[in-house]
Amino acid sequence: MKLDVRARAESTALGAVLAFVSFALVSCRAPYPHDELLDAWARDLIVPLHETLVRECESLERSLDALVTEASPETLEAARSAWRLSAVVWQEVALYRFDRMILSHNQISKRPADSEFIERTIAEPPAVLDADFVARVGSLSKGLSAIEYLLFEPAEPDAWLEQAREEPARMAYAVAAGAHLVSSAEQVLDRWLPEGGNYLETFLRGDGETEGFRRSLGKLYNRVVAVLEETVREHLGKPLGGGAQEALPEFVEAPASASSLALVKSRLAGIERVFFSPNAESGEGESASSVASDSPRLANYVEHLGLDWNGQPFVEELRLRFASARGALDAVPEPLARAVVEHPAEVEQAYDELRELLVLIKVDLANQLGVTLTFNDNDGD
Amino acid sequence: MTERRVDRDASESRLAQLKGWFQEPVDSLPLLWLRVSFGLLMAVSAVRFVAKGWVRELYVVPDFHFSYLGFGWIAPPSEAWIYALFAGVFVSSLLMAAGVFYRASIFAFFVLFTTVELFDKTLYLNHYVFVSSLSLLMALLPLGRLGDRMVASWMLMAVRVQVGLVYWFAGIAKLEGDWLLRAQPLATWLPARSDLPVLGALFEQRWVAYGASWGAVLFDLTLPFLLLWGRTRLVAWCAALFFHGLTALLFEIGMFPWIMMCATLVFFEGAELRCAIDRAAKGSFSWWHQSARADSQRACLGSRRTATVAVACLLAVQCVLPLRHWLYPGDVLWTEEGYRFSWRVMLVEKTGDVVFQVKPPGERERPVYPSRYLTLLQESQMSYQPDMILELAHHIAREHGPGTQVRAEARVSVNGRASRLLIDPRVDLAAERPSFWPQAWILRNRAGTPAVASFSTPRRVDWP
Repeated sequence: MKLDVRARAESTALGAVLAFVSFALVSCRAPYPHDELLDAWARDLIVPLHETLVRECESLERSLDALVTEASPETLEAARSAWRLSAVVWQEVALYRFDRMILSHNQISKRPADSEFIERTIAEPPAVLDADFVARVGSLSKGLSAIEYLLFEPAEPDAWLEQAREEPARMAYAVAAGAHLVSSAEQVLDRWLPEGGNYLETFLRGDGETEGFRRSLGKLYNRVVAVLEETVREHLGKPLGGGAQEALPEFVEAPASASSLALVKSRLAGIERVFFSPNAESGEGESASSVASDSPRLANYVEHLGLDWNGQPFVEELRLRFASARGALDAVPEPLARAVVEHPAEVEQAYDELRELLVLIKVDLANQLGVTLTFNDNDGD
Repeated sequence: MTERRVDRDASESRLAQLKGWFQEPVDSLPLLWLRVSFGLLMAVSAVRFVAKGWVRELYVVPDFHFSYLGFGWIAPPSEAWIYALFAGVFVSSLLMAAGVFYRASIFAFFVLFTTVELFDKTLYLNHYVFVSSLSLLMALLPLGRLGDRMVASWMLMAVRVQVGLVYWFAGIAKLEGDWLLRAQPLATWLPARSDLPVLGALFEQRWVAYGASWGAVLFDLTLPFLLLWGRTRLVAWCAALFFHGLTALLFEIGMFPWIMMCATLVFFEGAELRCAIDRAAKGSFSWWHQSARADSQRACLGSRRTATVAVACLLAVQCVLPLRHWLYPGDVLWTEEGYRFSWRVMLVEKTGDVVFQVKPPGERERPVYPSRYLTLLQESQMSYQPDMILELAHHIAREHGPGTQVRAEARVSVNGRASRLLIDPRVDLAAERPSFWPQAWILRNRAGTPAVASFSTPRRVDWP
């Protein structure tokens, strides 16, 4: 009798365990394909962006060669346009500055340009002013910021052409910096590729200590927040005057080329592309890069987790805030240096919208995603 | 008259009985185990801290450090001295483990470890508080001469109470709406680990977060009692191993799981530990059994009355301290008043963003960003803790000269809720004094406080 009771109890317990396991298995929806998201980021977004940067830098190099061959207002304008395109793509690429990539990135762009050194070099040029010479100089005397200084100072084409005729070393420096820029862009791309530094593998699989998805999501998210913060504080807030009596137009990012606003827009587009694929209904503007569309992005993950914000899908709020930020930036007339003086209300509106977007990503979404914003792995509790 | 005498006799007898029970000699092996394992873990912890470069990153690199109220006089010394402090923690840990110069080493460990923790409030962790509390308790007990000796049962019970308090109060802290009804923050943290093989798919399920939340409450509230009861002790300890093993796997919480796994072993009786060790060593330690059988002949370590009173006071303070948040209005998870030192372990997911608006005398107001003064970790921690925001506001005011006014626009999100203002953005924080009293400038209703978007524009804000 006792054995019967025990056998019945055991079979009941076994049945309960089986029922629970079945319930657990049945109720599980398919887990989110984390690897696919990382793969899409890496192969459809990051690597193509880096390839686009190399192409744009090569195009800039060619246009600088053409300018040296035949200095004219047309070739000068072509070179300046090529610089603008390279600089715009660079804003998106610079988002992916992970781990020790900072040194390679500094070779491509570090502001402000060291105009004193550049002028000294032009006045007393070395025997050979080529890419090797540029490679040896400090990061403020090379890359996009140095080329911007060389191409856009003075802004007036005739004055520039006259100056270039008087100082051949100026064009030689620009050509050398262009050649060095191409090799720097190639080096940064190479750090990602399997045949080079293969950071792609670290991005996809992790570094042995932290798994790929959590690590890469954390790194990328932190970069998104950092770049957005820098854009709000430094590139919009500071020129606005930060509460000072007057606006401070001298603090815009790229005053010589008058492309500061385009750079801000490009940075925002780059961040938006982390969240939405270009063909998603984000209404995202066109980009200079040729990234793949329709591949999964962070918004898909947010949607999969079913996150909401004040009762509505979080993805919708993100979409709205990106659109508002884009719209506010579009309403600011070019150039930014003049806009902060003549149209401060529009710039302030853009500042506000970008700051709202920053808070949504840095505070609200990070909270719901459980992303560690400092990436310091000191003991928690 | 006679009845009163009978009552008095009965109560005196009960008191004598209780006193006898407190003084009853018990096997000291659990305390020996605690001393050795705790000492070794602390030595590993000190080495780990230095090896990971945290000394430099957390104490040397920051220009500004957040201090605990009343402990502003404790600040990090030069880099060399900080390393020397960690060397001191390492050596004292090993000496404590070995029982060499026990009193001096455990006291030195307590002072050095606690001093390091007081350097910067940013690094507050419940497990550091536990380490300090346990080491202070151990410093009051004669654990250096254990060997084959017995101890008064109250000593073992005191350590068990110390360990049990952590679980008990951690369980009580979980009896609140977010944890029980919204399964937060586990509903956020578990899906964040859904990339783990096998278990990952389960972590995305809402019911798993609810199950884990309720299970954790049950675990924390019952574990101390189940560990005390002989019949359930082993099962409870296995559950503790599973629980802490899982948290170690899922969350980066460093040494805490290992410390608790070792500390919970003090709930076992000496004989049980001897048997387990003997069985594991296949009879090589059979002399342990023999010494256990001769309990009556073994010397029993007593302690001075002052030590006994100090232990009682220490435990009493720890019983009261975690409840002090009831004295403050509002939700402790939001205001953080009474949050620290109350075993609110892994209870909240908070993120924030703070911009200070600074107005030196005679000048217009301008935004000042915390990153100018803080490291990323400090900024992240400060962004949702009002007392730290106040401390930085005072620092900024001092830097900008007398009469400077400082306001803070702090937007904070708690447990997946949309971000809200944490601090009244109209209040001049430079004029507010830090204190243990409820702070009027904290906006207390975390659900109803409207977010004021317009405060973000640097030139739009006018002073009241």
